Formats: sequence, structure tokens, C-alpha cells
Amino acid sequence: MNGLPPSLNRIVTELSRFPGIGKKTAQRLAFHLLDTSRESVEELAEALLSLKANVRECRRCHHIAEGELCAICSDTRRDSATICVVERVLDVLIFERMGEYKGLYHVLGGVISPLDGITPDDLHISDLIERLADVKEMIIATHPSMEGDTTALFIAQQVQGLPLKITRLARGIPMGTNLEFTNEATLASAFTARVDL
Amino acid sequence: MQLEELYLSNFRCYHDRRFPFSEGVNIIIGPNGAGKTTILEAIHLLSLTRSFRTHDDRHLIERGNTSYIIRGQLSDQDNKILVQNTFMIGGRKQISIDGIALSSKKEMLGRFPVVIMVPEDLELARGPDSLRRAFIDRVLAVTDKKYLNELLKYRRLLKQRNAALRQVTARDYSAVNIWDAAFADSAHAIWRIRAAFFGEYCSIFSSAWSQQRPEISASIDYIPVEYENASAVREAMERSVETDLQTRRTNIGPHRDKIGFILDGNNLRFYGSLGEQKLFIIALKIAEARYLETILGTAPVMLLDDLPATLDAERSRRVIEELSDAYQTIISATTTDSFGRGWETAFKPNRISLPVEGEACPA
Repeated sequence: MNGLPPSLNRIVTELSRFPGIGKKTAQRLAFHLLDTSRESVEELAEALLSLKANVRECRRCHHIAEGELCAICSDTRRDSATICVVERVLDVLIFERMGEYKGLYHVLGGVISPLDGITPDDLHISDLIERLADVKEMIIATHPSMEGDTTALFIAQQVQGLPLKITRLARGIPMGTNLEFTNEATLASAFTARVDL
Repeated sequence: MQLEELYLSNFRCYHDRRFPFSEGVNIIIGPNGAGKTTILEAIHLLSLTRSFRTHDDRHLIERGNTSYIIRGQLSDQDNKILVQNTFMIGGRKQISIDGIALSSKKEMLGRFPVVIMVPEDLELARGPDSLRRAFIDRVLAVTDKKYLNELLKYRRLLKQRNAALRQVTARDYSAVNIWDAAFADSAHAIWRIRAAFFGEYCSIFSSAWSQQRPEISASIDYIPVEYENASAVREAMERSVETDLQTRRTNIGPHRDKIGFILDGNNLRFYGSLGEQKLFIIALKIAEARYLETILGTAPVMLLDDLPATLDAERSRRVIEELSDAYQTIISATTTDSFGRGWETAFKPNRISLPVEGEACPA
């Protein structure tokens, strides 16, 4: 179709399925592969296959795991009395990068959004509730969106009456920002959630 | 605010054209399909960041091209600003003021206010409440950023809640219920702003109307559902659960507000004559201009599309006289015959004659 051999076209098509990769970038990557040594390409191919073969969902918290439990769930030094509920696997990585948190996680796999056909049953909510028996604090860290807030509210309703503390991430002014560059909605929520000095 | 010059590039039938405008009356004259409305459309787009004829910017690009540019040189007393809109297929619309890109389209609203009157506006008087709600939503979106944000939030909440209502099985209301707190908050906020708006707008309207026809009374009838606070809204929603589940949509909320145009005690929609309906719309638009000027502190530009189609000669002249006194007025018409003799000497309009050599502009 463009004078390229079919094998090259095939790899370009496959690569351009990646998020953020357009046709031109895919071509550049394909030509890079062509220039790469056979061993390196085999290494890459093997890595791809092993990714699919070995990485799965943690049975307990739905984070990514190699084996039954993820590295966080199987780490005995972590505080099992605290659970942080997040939307996606990526959010776990964000919290881990922060380095402050020593508790466990629970990945919901999304937020409630009837418009996208996602109901509470499609999320990992029932097994979250099963995990709460020995938990003292549940931090709901869904995104500060309408759907994230609603999901947080739903979970809070479901566990009503259980003897645990439920918290939600505070929202407000980002570090290093000047007040005048803060939008009204953010400022308003920071104002409502102001803290004692 | 006044438009001094409009530049169009690859915009519908205009490949590369400048149009100078003057203060007072401007008239765009030309046969059907010559591109008169396209000029008004471009001005509207500069002001409100979107066309009144299409939601798809790709339709606005000249055939065979991939992008358009609209540029408006504006002035307000001694202040001059240059607003530019560009759109490219596959990209996002870019808006800049004096070369500085705006981070969001919302930032443009209220900077260059316009009031547009098209023949289809008659539907505001004859059509369903949804059109009148859309009218006030548009005025408020330009004058009140908080309202616009709340409205966008409310619409999304409503969609989510209605989707939940459609999906709910058996009698498990909890999947719907979880939206109620946020929904009630948002509904209450919108009602509060609307009620305050109507208080102000109606009195401006009354004075605009009495200049048209003082012998008959006219008013805008908005009966806000009075809920003291968001929890009162929630209680009303709880009472409406059965109905919501049956109809599979939300029956309480500002999206159901009724707005009536009342003439001499009767609903204009059912009882008004065509002439009365037209007159009502004129007063409504004059009131819109005055309201925008009061709130924004900037006089809007009046855009009157195909004025002779809406009004007779006598009425047209009076409206032009009234408007051009206070606002820059841009009118499109196929002919000025209907304005009667001597109107050119009376108003000294800036004349834009179309079509421009060889260009034809089917909308």
C-alpha cells in the first residue's frame, strides 16, 4: 500500500494501536526494531509474552500481581488495618510514589457511571466490604469528579454501621500555587475544608 | 463594544475577505445565498465560540480546505482588542485575544457580547418551554460563570441519574439514590440563580415592552419551584421516586421549569397573533441587550438576520432607530425596499453589498 514490505506494515499497524502512538511514531519505532540486533528483539518479544503469561490481578486487592497476591498485599510490614480505595491500578502507583502511605489498597476498577453502563456491580465493591472486618480506617481516594464523589458516597453508604473510620481525600490549593491562580471551585472547596491552626 | 473589522479566511464561501464595519447601522445587502448570514454567523462565533447554525466546526470550513480563521478587530472606547478563532480538522478550536491563547472557550464568554435575532426566534414565542429555557441559559452563561459551571454539572448529573433510572431493575433504588445528594445541591443552586435573574430581567423586559406597545401589558412568567434548601429538594425527589421509576426519568428539577410569555393575561404561545409574537420577541431581545450591558458593563453588538422577514417597514424603522441609538447594529436583508424611502438618508448605514465578485455562498 505504501511500498513497504508486508511484515513492516504489520508491525506498524500493531504499534499504532498503542496509546499516544500515531502512524509516524509507529513507523519510527518499526525502523528502530529493524536496526536492532536479533537478540534484543527476541528479548523484547519474550518480555511481552511473559508480561501476558505472568502478570495478573491480585486476588485480594485487584492490583497487578505476579502470583496470587500482589507485592503490597504480601508485604507483612504494611499496616493491614488501613485500606486505601482507588479507581485504577495507576492510582496505586501514584500513592506509592508519594511514599507516605504504609497501608493496603483496594482497586475498584473504575467508578459508577450509568452513562457508560458501569453500575456498582461492575466494580470490586462487594469484596472490598468483605475485607473490612479487621480494618480501622478506610481512605476513599477516588478522583474528585462527579462520578468519583458518587462512588465514594455509595461505598460509604454500603458500609454504614461498620465500626471503622471512613475518610475522603481533602481537596484544595495545590502546593506552590498562588491564590490568585486558583480557580473558584477549588478555592471554594479549600475554604469549606479549612483546618484549625 | 464595537466591531471595526472582520476578517474571514476559508470560512464557508469566504476564501480571504475583510469587512469593515462602522458604528451605528450596518447593512449587508445581497440576494439569497450570497453569504449574508455567514457574516453574522462568524461574528456570533467570535462572541460565543460557536455557530448558531451548526455544532460541527468542520461544516464551517470552505470546501477543499482543512482550516478556517476568523479575526475581529474590536474597540471599546479607546481600548482595541483583536480576537481570533482558528479551527483545523482533527484539532481543537483555538481562541486568542491580542495573540494570547485562551486556555478555555469559557474565558471568551462575556468579553464581546452580541445579541442575535434570526427569523426562527419566533419559535421562542410559539414553541415548547425547552426553547425558552435554552434562551435564559444562554444569557446567563454569558453573564454568570458560576451558573455556566453549575449548569454543565447539572446536565451531567441529570444524564447519569436518568441512565441509572433506565438501568435499574427490580425495585433497587440505591443505584439511582446515590446521585440524589449532588443532584439536589445542583438543582437548588440553579433555581436560586434563575429566580434572581428573572427578578431583574422581567423589569428590564417590561420597560422594553412598554416602549413598543404601552397599551397592552406583557410579562414573562416564571414560577420558580420554591425549595428552601437542597434538603427540601431531596425530599421532593424522594416523593417523586415512584413516578421517576415509572417514567424512567427525573421529574423534579430545573430542566422541567416552565417559562411562559404572557400578553394581556393570556399565554402568548396559544393566544397571541403573529404580529404580537414578533413584537414580544423584539422586546425580549432589546431587554437582552440592556441586561448584558448592565451586567457586563459593555454594550453588545446587535445582529439582525433578515430583518424584513420578521418585521414590516414601519416597525423595522422604529426598531433600527431604537437600537442603533445605543448599539452598533448589523442587519442583513435581501433588499432595503421594505424599509421605505429615505431610510438611507435617515440612518446613513455602512453598506456591504454581496456577492463579492463571483462568490456564491450556499449555507
